[in-house]
Amino acid sequence: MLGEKALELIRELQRSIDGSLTPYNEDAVRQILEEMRALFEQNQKDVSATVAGESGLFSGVQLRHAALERNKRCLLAYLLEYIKKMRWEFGSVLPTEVKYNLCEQEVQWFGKYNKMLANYMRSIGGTGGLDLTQDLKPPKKLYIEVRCLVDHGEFETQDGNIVVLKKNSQVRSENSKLDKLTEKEEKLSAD
Amino acid sequence: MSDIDEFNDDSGEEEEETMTTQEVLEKLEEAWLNEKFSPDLLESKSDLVECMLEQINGMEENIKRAKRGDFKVSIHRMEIDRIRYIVSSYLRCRLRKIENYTTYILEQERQRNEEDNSRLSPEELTYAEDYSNVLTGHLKTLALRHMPPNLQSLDPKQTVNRDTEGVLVEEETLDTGEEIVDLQQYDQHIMRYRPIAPLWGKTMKWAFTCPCVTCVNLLECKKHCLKSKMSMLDSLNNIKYIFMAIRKTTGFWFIIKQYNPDKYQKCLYFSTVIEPPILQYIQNYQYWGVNIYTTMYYWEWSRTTSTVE
Repeated sequence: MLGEKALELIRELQRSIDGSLTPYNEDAVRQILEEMRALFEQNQKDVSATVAGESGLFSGVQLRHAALERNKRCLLAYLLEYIKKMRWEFGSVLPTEVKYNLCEQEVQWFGKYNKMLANYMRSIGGTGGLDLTQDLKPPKKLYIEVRCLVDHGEFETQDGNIVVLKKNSQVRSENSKLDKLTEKEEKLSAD
Repeated sequence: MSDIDEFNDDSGEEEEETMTTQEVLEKLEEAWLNEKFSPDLLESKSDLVECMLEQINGMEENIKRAKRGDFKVSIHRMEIDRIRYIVSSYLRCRLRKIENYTTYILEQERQRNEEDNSRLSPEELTYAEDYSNVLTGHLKTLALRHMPPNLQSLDPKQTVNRDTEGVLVEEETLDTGEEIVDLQQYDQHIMRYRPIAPLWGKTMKWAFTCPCVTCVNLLECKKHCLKSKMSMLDSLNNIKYIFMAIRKTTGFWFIIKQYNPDKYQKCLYFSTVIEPPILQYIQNYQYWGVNIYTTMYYWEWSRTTSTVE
C-alpha cells in the first residue's frame, strides 16, 4: 500500500512517547525515500504520456502525488518531534543511551537547538539571564521531605545551612534548591 | 501576605518611580494569564520581566542580610520562588508559541508596519530566526534533499491546518449571523477569538473563573479562591481551556461540566450566569478545536444563592 512505511514510522514514534526514544530508523527512512522516487518517476512517465496525447492517466497521477505529499509530511514529522523535548527533560547534556539512538545529524540538531536556547536564556533580563528549564512547577510547600537513595555528601541549602545527605536518611529541607537536585540527579525521592 | 507586600514596596522604591513592585507583579500576572490563554503570540512585556528579575535579585540581597532562622525569611523566599515561576512560565509559554508557529510569526513580523510595535522582543526575534534556519537546515540534510525535486521545498502552509479552522469559522458565522456587540467595561462574554484578537491583552483581559463548586458568583468566586493564591496557580495549570462567562443580570444559572485534557481527567465545574439565548449557542460548542461537551443544569436564582455561605 502506498504510504504504509511512513505510517509505520509514525506509529513507532508514537509508541515510544512514554518510554525512551527508539533508534533512528534509517532503513525505513531510506525505503520511504525510495518509494517516493519510484512514485515520482511513474508520475513523470504518465505526465509525459498525457502531454503526448494519451488520456485517462490523470487520476493516477493525482493519487501518487497525494501519496508523495503524505510521505513527505510523515517523514518530516518523524524527524521533527521529541528531540526538542529532550533538551527540556535532560538538560544540555544527553545521556549516552539516548545519544546512542540518535543519528549523527540529529545529535547536531540537538546541539544547535541547545545552543540557541542557551543564548536566549542568557539574554533574558539584564543580569545573567534566567534558566527557563527550572521552576517547571509552581512551588507548593515551604518544605519538602526527601529520602536519599544515594550518598550525596554535604549539600548547602539556600540559607547557608549544610545538610549531610546520607543514603536512606530522611531530610526535611527548604524547597527550592533541593527540588532541583531531585529533578536533576534523581538521587532523592520526594515523599 | 501584607508583610510581603511591604517587603516588595521597600525594595521597589529605589528603582521604580512610577510603579510599585506590587503593581509590576500584578501587571506581569495579567500578561501571563493573557499569554497563556491566547492562541496568538501577544506583545512582549520584556520590560516587566526585566524589572521583576531585578526585584528578585534585590529581594535575595535583602534576605541575605536578614537574621538567620527568621521565619519571615522562608516566606519571602517562597514568594521569590513563586514570582520566578510566573516569570519563567510566561517566557516558556511564549517560547513554545514561537517554536510552534515560527513561520507564521516571522511572516507577520515582516509584514508589520514601521509604526506598529513588534510582538517579539529583540531576543525572541533572534531566537525565532535562528530556530527557523536551523530547523530548515536539519530537515533539508536529513530528508528533503533526497526527495524528488518538486517536493524539496518546505512549504510552510502545509504544516498549518488551515482548512479545519475555516470550516469552523463559517459554521459559527451562520449560527450567529452578523451581530454588533457593545463591549462595556466589566462585561463578560463568550465569543470567538478572531474578532476580538486585536483587543486581547489591551482593553480586554482573561476573566478568571474559579473551578470550585461552592462559589457561585463569578466575582465573589475570585475573592474566595484568592484566599489561597496557590490554588489559583494550581487550577490555572490544570485547566487547559476555560469557557466562560456572562452577565450578572439574568436569573438563570448553569454549570458547565468541562472536559479537562489533563491526565487526571478531572472534571471541573464552573458556575456562571448566562442568558437563555446563549445557552443554545453553547451546547456542542467547539472552541480552539476542542470539543466541549456541556451538561447544563438550570436553577433559579434564589435556590443557588442559598448555597453560598
